[in-house]
Amino acid sequence: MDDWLPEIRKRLAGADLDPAREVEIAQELAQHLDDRYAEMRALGADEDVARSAALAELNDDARMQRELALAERLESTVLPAGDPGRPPFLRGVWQDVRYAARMLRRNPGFTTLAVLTLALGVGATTVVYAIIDNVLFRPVPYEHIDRLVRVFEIDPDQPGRLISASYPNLQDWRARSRSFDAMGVYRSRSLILLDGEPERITAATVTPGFLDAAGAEPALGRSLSEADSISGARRVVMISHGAWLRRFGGDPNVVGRTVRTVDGPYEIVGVLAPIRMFAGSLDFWMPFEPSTAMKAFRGSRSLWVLARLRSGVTLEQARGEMDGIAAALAQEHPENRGWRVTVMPMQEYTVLGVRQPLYIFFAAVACILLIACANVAGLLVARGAARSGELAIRSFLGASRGRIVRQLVTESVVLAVAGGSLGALLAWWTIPQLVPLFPLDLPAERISVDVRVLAIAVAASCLTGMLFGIVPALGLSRAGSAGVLKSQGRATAGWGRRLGGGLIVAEVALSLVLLAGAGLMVRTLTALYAVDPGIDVAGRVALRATPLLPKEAAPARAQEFYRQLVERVAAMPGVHAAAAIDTPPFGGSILFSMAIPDGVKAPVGVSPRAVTPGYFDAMGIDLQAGRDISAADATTTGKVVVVDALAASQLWPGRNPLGRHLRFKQGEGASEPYEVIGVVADVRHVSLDGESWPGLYHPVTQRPAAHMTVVARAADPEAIGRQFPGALAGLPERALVRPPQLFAGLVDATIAERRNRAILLGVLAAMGVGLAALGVFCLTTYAVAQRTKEIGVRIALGADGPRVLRTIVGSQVTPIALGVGLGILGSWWATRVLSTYLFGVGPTDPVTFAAVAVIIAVVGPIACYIPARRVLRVDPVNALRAE
Amino acid sequence: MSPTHRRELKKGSAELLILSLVEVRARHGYEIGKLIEQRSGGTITFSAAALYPLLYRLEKRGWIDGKWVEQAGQRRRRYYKLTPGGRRVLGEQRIAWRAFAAAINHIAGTEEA
Repeated sequence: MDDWLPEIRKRLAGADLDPAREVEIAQELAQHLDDRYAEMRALGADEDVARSAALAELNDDARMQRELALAERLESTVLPAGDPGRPPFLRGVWQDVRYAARMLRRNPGFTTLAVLTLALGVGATTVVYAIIDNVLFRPVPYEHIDRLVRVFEIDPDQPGRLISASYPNLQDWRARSRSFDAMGVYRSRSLILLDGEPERITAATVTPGFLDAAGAEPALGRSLSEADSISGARRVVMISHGAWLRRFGGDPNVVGRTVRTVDGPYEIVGVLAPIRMFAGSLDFWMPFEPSTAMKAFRGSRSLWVLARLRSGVTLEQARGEMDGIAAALAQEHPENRGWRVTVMPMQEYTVLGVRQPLYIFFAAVACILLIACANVAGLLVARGAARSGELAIRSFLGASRGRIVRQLVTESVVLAVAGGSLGALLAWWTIPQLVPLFPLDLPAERISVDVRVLAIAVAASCLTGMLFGIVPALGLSRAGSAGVLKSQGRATAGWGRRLGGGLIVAEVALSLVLLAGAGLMVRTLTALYAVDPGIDVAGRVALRATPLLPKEAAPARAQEFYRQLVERVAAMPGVHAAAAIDTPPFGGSILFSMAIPDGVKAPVGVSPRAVTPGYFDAMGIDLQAGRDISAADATTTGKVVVVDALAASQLWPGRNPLGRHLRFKQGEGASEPYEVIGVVADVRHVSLDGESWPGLYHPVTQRPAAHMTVVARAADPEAIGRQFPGALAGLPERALVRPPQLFAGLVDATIAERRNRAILLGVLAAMGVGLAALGVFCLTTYAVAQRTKEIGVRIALGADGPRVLRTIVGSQVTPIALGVGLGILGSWWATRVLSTYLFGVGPTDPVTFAAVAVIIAVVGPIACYIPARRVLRVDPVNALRAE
Repeated sequence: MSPTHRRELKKGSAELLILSLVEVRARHGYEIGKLIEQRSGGTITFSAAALYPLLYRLEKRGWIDGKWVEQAGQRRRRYYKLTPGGRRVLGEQRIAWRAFAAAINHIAGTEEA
């Protein structure tokens, strides 16, 4: 046998076949020649004769080339007939699907681009939809979730805020209401365990009603009772099921054992059966003991109230009853004047903080999906130009317009299902990695892409397929049925250009809305970074150590502990200054008191802090007037206080505060007077964007604190943090050391959520703009291809290339400009939903809008210009000969 | 028959011939060409240059379906079989051909009296 391939390839050369296809055809022909050769040899021919006979099969190669080229370019002008056994409609659909799949396989470049674009859009949408579906639409897996409610008070001055309950009000609600099986209080507290290595944990303190409402039953021993809450009673604790297994090895005799804590021993009275609330994160459950102040003040509202509706009682009935009780209490107690009560289903409460952001992210990914659809519609239009000949022939052969539209839409749906499936797969695959990156507190363990989410993703893909397929299909079919075989291609030009323009408008507008949202978030971040925290964060580190002291012994001994600790830290090499404060800035908590300035009746809410001398220097807080707190301000001298500028302006507006006195409200009376000795700059104690409270600084010697944080200024604060545990050796008390924190990091953490949201919106906006630019690029490529002949004529008539280029780019700039206009209008409306997440910038900030418009106005024309440059290479002779 | 006549007739009937030959089982191109030659008693022959473009055209229309089959010690072969769509077309073409042939016979008076 011979190697026919070189000869065959030579003869196929003129057919201009797809290289892969040419290889296939050559192989098939080679086999044919093999057969012919073998047959001739079998008939007795010698090798040369057999070889000539075989090669003779390829005579008339010019015709073969022509016929092959025709056959290969044939886009099946006749639709395949289906299996006659199926009903005609289904038969048609199946045919269409198979035909569509064939068409798509034959255009791998187009298909890949379209499928990837759609996969991106569907994938992003599926991820956010999966989160929404799992978090918002499905019941939280708590026991009795349909009957669990939270009860809040509503301040007449701030009707939009949910306020915790006060203890006396709770007691009255429990006594007077009939709608609930149980109602109780939850509060967390920290506890230092002394069994083994000292360990700080978060424990739950609850009233028995809370456990009843949550459906928490004892698995061993007994539950907490009302009697346990009475102060002075024996101290008891229930342990969670997880803690029983983890900490006590599942010991069946655990009831009666003692848990040693810094505050003394607690007796274990029971083990809770597993409950889902708090996801098993709380190991110790103790009786809630209201403080004297809590019991005394109806206006002190700080309790987290959970209740369970009585079986058969509706939410409306419970609300009605509580409205009545609240109205009666408002009459009876002046602290309750105007206050109302609201009952909120637990299910709704658990998603309170995530519902709106999730909908915003969903809207953003929906924009991406729409842009992706517009892109694919654009690709279909562009490819439609290449297919108009085929469609015209088909219509000429008798296919109805409806039939052709159906075929084209089927192609889009096949495309959409392919892209959608890939996108859903991507979502399913990446969601475990993506959920933790989401700037929201989400129950990650509950979020997955399951069959229901997949089904919706695929259904949505089909729908989008029809959406982006129908318009190009209608246009193409019209061009096809116009039957203009001789000017095929140009028939699609008019509507194609109009549709292309429309798609550009839509893509530009949608991407601008996304970009405007991201821009506002970026402006918010810039505004936050510009906020002066009041402290100098550079080189500042928070060093935290808690002496293991029982509550009652703590203040006096802790004071000595911290005095010595500050001295040691200050003596560490590389430390420039050190001091201590009870509630450090950005540490997550502040205290409140009511201060009564002398000469003024009305008290002012202030945030008091206890500090050691040198605190302002250590933190870089400016002393604006008066003097600093000194070591001499000990217990024996008169009580002194340093106020910050905000406190000064609120306590004594327009007057010099130095030398003035203030007292603190204590029950019905007031404390002894405190003399103002200095004024310091304001410090943002909670967060950069939060409310500022008037701040007061006391010498810790005059306001004892059990727990303090040592703050240090050092050249290398991280090294100091690492060496800190060593500084504790030999101090009078054992202490629990917590990880050091740089103030730069603490400040940053308060804006982390906003920054992550800005990053997410930014990424989505970048995707949107990228897709839109790709869309403009493709549609411009198409427009140039459409107008090659016209361009040829112009150039032949003497127009210069650059001018034609300007015309082409100019014709695309009109829809871009329209899109920018529409996008700004859309943003004007859409960015309002962001307003609660913005800081220092309005939802319709003109600077942001102008900036994003400029970005689009630069990116858009560049995306036109690159493909439009091709006009410079148009050869008028070839262009005119093209048809 | 002049070569031109033969070519025209071939062109019109070639589709029907090929479809008929792959109706019962899948066949490769050489076999199809050989069978046409044998069964027409040598009146109709196709060179590879003529046959394969025709096969590809029928495949594009979805009437026949080609599959590569590997065989030890040989080049792989492409076997063609009739698709359900092709079966319908074959039925239609057979009816049309019979009607056409009958009409030609009738008019040309070659029908035996």
